Amino acid sequence: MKYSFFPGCSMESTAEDFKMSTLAVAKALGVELVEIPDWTCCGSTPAHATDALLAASLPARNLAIAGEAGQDVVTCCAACYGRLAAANLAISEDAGLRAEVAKAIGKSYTGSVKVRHFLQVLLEDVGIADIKDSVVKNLGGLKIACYYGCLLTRPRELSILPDPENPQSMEELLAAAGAQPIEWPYKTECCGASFSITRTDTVKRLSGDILRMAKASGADCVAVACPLCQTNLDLRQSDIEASTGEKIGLPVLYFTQLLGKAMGLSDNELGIGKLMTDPSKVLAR
Amino acid sequence: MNAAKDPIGAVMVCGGGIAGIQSALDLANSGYKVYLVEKSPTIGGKMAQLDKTFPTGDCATCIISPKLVECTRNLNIEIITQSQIEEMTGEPGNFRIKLKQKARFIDINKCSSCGDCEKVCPIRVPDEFNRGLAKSAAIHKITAQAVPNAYVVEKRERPPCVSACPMGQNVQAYVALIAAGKFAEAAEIIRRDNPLPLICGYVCHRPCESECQQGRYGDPISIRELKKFAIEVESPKSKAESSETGRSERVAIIGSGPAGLAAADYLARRGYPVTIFEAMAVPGGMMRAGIPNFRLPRNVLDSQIQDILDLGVELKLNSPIGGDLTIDSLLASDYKAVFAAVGAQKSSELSAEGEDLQGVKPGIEFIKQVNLGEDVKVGSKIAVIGAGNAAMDIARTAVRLGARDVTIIYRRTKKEMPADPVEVEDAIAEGVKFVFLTNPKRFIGANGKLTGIECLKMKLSDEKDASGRRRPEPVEGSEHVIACDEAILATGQVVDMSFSSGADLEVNKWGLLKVDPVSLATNKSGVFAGGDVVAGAGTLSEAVAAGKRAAESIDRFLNNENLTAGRSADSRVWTEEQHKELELIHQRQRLYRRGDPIHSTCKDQHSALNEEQAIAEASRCLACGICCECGECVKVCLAKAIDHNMTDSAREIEVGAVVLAPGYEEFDARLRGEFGFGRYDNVVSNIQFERMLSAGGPFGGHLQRPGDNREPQKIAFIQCVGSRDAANGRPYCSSVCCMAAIKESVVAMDHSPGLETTIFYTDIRAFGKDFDRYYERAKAGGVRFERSMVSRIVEMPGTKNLRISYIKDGQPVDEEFDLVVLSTGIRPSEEALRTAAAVGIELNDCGFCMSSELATVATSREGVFVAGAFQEPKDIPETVTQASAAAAMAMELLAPARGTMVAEKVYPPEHDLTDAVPRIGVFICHCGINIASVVDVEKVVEAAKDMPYVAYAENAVYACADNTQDRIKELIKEHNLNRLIVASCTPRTHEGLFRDTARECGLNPFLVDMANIRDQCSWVHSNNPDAATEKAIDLVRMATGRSARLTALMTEELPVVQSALVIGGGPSGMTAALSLAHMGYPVHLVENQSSFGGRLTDGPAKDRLITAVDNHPLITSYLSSRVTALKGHVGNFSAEIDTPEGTSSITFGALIIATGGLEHKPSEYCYGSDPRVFTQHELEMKLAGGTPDLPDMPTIAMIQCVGSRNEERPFCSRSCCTQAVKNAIRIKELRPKANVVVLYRDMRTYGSNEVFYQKAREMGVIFVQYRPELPPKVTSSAKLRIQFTEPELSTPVNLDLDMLVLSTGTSPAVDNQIISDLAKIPLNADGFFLEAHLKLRPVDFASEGIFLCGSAHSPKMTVENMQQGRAAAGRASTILSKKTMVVGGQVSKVDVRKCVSCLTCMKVCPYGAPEVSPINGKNRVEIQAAKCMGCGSCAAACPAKAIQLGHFMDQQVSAAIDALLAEV
Repeated sequence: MKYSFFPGCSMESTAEDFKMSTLAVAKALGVELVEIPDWTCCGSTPAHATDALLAASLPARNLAIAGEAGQDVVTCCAACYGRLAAANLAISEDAGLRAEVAKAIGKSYTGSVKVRHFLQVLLEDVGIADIKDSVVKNLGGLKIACYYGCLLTRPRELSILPDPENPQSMEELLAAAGAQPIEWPYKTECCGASFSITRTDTVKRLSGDILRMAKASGADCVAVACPLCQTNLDLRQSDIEASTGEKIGLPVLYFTQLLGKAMGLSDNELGIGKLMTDPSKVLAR
Repeated sequence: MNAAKDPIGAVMVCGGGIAGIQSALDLANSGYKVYLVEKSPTIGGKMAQLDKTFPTGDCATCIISPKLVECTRNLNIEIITQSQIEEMTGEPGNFRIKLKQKARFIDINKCSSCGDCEKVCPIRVPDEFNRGLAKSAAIHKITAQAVPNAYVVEKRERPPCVSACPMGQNVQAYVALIAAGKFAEAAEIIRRDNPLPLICGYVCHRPCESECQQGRYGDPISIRELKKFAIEVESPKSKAESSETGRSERVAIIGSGPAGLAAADYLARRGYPVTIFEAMAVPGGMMRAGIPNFRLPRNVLDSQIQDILDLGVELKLNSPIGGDLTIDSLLASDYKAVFAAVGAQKSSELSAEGEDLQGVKPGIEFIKQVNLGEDVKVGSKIAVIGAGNAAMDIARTAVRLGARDVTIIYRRTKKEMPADPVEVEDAIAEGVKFVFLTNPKRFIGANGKLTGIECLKMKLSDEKDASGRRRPEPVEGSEHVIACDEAILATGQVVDMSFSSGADLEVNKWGLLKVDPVSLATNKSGVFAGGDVVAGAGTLSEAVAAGKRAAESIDRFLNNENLTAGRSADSRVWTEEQHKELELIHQRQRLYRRGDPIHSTCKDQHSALNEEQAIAEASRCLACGICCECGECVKVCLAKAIDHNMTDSAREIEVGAVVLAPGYEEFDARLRGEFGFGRYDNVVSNIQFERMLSAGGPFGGHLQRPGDNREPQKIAFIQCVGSRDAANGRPYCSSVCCMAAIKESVVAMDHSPGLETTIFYTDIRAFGKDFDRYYERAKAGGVRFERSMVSRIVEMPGTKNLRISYIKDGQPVDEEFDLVVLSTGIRPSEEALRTAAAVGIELNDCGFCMSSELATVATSREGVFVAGAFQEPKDIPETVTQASAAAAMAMELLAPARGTMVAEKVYPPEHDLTDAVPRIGVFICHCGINIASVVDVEKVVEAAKDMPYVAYAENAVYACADNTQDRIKELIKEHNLNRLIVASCTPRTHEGLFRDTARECGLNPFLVDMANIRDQCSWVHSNNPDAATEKAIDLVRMATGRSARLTALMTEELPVVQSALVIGGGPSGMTAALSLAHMGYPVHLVENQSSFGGRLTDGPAKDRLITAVDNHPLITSYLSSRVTALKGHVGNFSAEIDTPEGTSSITFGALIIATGGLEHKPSEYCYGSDPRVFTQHELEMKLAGGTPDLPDMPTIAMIQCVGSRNEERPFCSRSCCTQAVKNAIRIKELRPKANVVVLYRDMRTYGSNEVFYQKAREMGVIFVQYRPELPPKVTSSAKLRIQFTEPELSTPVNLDLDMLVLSTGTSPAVDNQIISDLAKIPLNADGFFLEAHLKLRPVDFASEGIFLCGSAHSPKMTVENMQQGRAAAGRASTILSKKTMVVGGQVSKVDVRKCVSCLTCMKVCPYGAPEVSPINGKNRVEIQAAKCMGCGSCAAACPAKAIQLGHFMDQQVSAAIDALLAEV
């Protein structure tokens, strides 16, 4: 199993632990992730909020390069996934845009390279049976609130999840690793995403609601699949606690970190130490 | 419409809901044979699922049940349940239809519906009827009131577990029986197909568990453990009897392994003398030699073998075949057949270098030695090569023999290992090590002794091999040595074929015996072979299966029967597609929640289950096949009504026309994921809520949450779930949900005082007759209405309450509720779509039946008509109306064939009993055990024998059974009985049957009486049998007392005048008249205007209709005429008509009221004073006339509900919203730049009209809601100006108009009061005519023979008025089609000597039956038998006691009471 890997910029900075754990888990499962040579930013929020051509061209450039290798593109950032997939859709449906993009990136690209999230690769290509087999130290019934946020679930036509209203993919995966994912109603709420910097108050309110609901629903920790969600829920958690005076204390881990723990990978390989809310207590159980 | 020359006088009605039932009854009562085809096992449809119906608050079941019973009683309706149309050919008037009928597994004629079977059925599956809120048995009756009144067995395909078992064990059955605590019965099922059940319970490889559906959600059911439990918990098998008489033909079996033993068991039971020849010194074959005792205890093996030997099987040990003793010599001696059942007892060789070194051992020989008790020494460091179960056994045995280090070497990975994962886990737990992706290349030794194995690393290529696994390939240069002092080869087993030497048996390419796969016969007559010797090393269950198969063949062979007839080769494993399909069914049925993980209760495979654990584990079974064919029901059914071998059947029927009424399905609310249906316990659909409210529902009518049984305090209803939802392909309005939700709120508040209900809606569409009144009453009664779209629901942790987010006054609000009801919309059923395809009719974009614009019941195929929700979503009264209309169209088509296919029952003449002494026959029913388990029936019979006038008494297991009817007839003749009493259940369902039986013997039907000793005795006193028996005797005594006083009641036949009078020549009246005329009945059509047409807009449609009326020879027109006098009764009315030419007197058999309505003329909004103000109808006339006089960019406003829905006229006129929308669209088409603003209260564009509403908005028409307390203001001067408030802007808006259009609604016709007085038929408070029943008799009056249609009934759209006109014609035909009608019987009679003409009876009679007429010069009351319905109201009310009701005369009632008190 070999894929072209698009890390995206979060993976190089705030979400370095997501990249580390993704690569470690992939390696252990025999999934080869080859970084797209000379990859550039997906455009993220600013591009698609300002210019449709830019929003399509930035991902297209990366996809066109990846296309030369002939493999599916895999990313683990939800925002990158959204941008790459949206550009693919737009380019394949709109011949005019296709021509403009070709001009902009100096290559023709038809939207044909398949973009996938790492979660999909684990569930669809590796398969639950092999994941189960790879577990050496199961998660001991850890109660996990799987949190998807918005970018993996919306819009529906780009969603990687069979049931975007009540997704079950991370649940299936982590249950195979011996966790006991809980059912809770805020799986697809918005955390505030990139407003983290411009409208911190809004993010604190939205992310605070999510964390409190996870806690009230009996979670030991939260699993995420998006660097923005992780930042808002983890990094902002102490601010959120300070604003209401209510202690939450929920570790927020990438699903790859939790899976890696179950597969017996070390904290260092998984970047566990980079988390703000200390997960060692819940992981020790 | 053109029908074939000789049309067939029969109609097929598809769908047994209320629409189908109404069509069927109308047709059958008008002289047509009806085939009522229903997909489910019972008729009644959705209506039977409802709790109450609004606005009358009637129980839905109570009002539909009599119609269901009427269908079964009608000789000309054949109800065909569980059937669907497969194909239809032919032409209108002459269709040929292929039907497919699913097996019911119950003989309807034998089933008495006693319910004994249901009690013993071990299966409980989610009950579809209760939408999963309750569970039902696999054998069940859909509802208590089901019609046909019989049970049904629900079966799907053979479940995957059963299909997967080579032995064909009925896995689902024994698992279900264990779950039900019936361990002995479970063991019996297991033993029936398995002679070695306990051995299988220990070591079967469990193919059933691999296929178990539960394994797709969590762990499969631990079937093997359950089998072991069932066999162990039961005392040892009773000494088996060799069931059949002894046979003389001896059978030889070679090998005492599982195949040989299984064959021996089956043959011995069939009486054959069997000898087993075993080469070893001990019996059991590979079960003993190959399986270590830590997996299969020797005492288990010994006792199982002994059980078989105890059947008389002879066992010859140390008797190998192949030497002195050969197959031929066996056949030459006195053996008539031989079964070769030799196992694979030799290791296959690896052919690697160094295999001859000391320390390299063949695995099978190793384990054989250990198992047979030889002293075996092992090395300290052992390598086991192979990865099957044998390798695990060898490794674990080696550990037990003291090996320090045991390593399994396997060339693939753990995932590909063929061994049972449980065995692998055990091996790991015992310290066995595994080296994967490694393959031995050669054995290395020193001094002839093994020192190690040189191995190659392997990798899996992407290619797959024949086994479907990835092919291992050696890695170049990866040679390495694994040190060991002993290597045991577990790489395969082979059969020692020496036994067959010289026998000339054909072999296959592997050198094994070649047999016929079905019979297992070899090429040599009389010699059969099975198990390893045919298929190579296999499993225990495969060997047993082969033994059974061979035994069956040998039995056939010795009986000279065909060896293969009716048999097939293999058990079948389900395909992935089949599994997926089943998974979907399970998910739908149990609304599968991912949150509740399903895990096995017996993780530990080694500890035996206790009873509690076994029941819990077995209870996890999903019952994939539903019925498991355990046979428990068959054991208890005394009527012998159950036959599990029934199969689906096909049938061809010829009919002249088809009425499609397949009903609807609810929208799958899971598609609106934001509401959490199927995920949140306390979010239910409205059908579920109806079941929750129903007294016959899952909670007995107690209002409680499904999640935790808590009584809800706050309920929210969310409207338009799957309606008005273009995104989900449902752009139409489902029409019924608004009123349903209001009704459900009101009913729920009645159930639970203090309950708060809130309805979240967009528009309240209370557009039907009296709907707005109900809506206003609900508002006043405390139902809260929130006009807001709910964005989502969140289930709160802990309380499981539901938080609803919505917008109120522009602000987001979160509010918690205990329960949420989703008003799920209506969509065409899958069945309807299939039927439509089979019949070849066109559907519209949403999948509903395409129907003609002017005749809504006509489909795209001539001769096929449609009724009910399949045409378009609609409520019950409209469904019933449409059903009668569809029936009418079929009657029009088939007019020449009327009466050609109907049956009439002929009875013998009645005996004259005038002076006969009563001789009563009493029959006491057991009702299976329904009565007999409580009431001592024999005692009641004995008591009855001593009662006065009783000439004969006996008991019957089922009084209603066919054979009992024959018995009753015989006894009536034999004992010269002239009265009949049946003490059983209720006369409601059974009186007709017994009356019929009596009539067949020449007894007057009114000489039959019933005593209800079930519903009113055994059921209610089940805890007090003695008192119940006494009560039963009392009930029978009362019946005998009454019976002796019963008299024969006479009926008479009156002629019917086969013509009709229609009053009103608008669209509904003209349609009714034309329909009747097409059916062949003369019609008088009276219109008070100078021309026909009523309020029809001018145009070709109107002209066509009038021309058709004018030209029809059977229609007599009376224009500018009025009816001035009306007399008579059903079948024979007379009227005087005042015409311009003078007075005309006519007689007729049926009357149709079609007086229509008027457009209301308003006084407000400058109407009449400003020429720019029009009514909607006036606008329509202008638009119909061509381009209206409007500027290029006009500004036009429309105001809805002008003079409607107010105090003075508190009803909705139904058509105005749609009319406004359509006119607005027309204006936009003519003047695309026009500004059109529609000011409305609720947009009531119900049904498919919603699509026009959407289109209007898309075209730019602006819709602004106004509140009735803040209506728009209109001023007229040079400018016509309107001022209104836009809610979102909250500031007044002023517009200067080019035109103002007022939607003013419909007023009742002025003549209504006059007609009401003339015909003695009632009007409602609004001045419209009041039908017999708002729900089920929408075009009838309580007075028989008078019908209603059009706006005279209530305001409607033109097509609906015409449809109702046709429905009235259909109903009238039920009278006009008969030459004579039977009156009398159970009717009231007045004793003129006592009558003082106080007229009390006239006031209480609902049917207008009493009539005052002069008798002997005095005015006396006479009751017209033709109108009397026998209700007895007059008899009860008469102060002078002058009225007596036949069959319930005072002396008869007194006699019953006297009989009761006689014993006190």
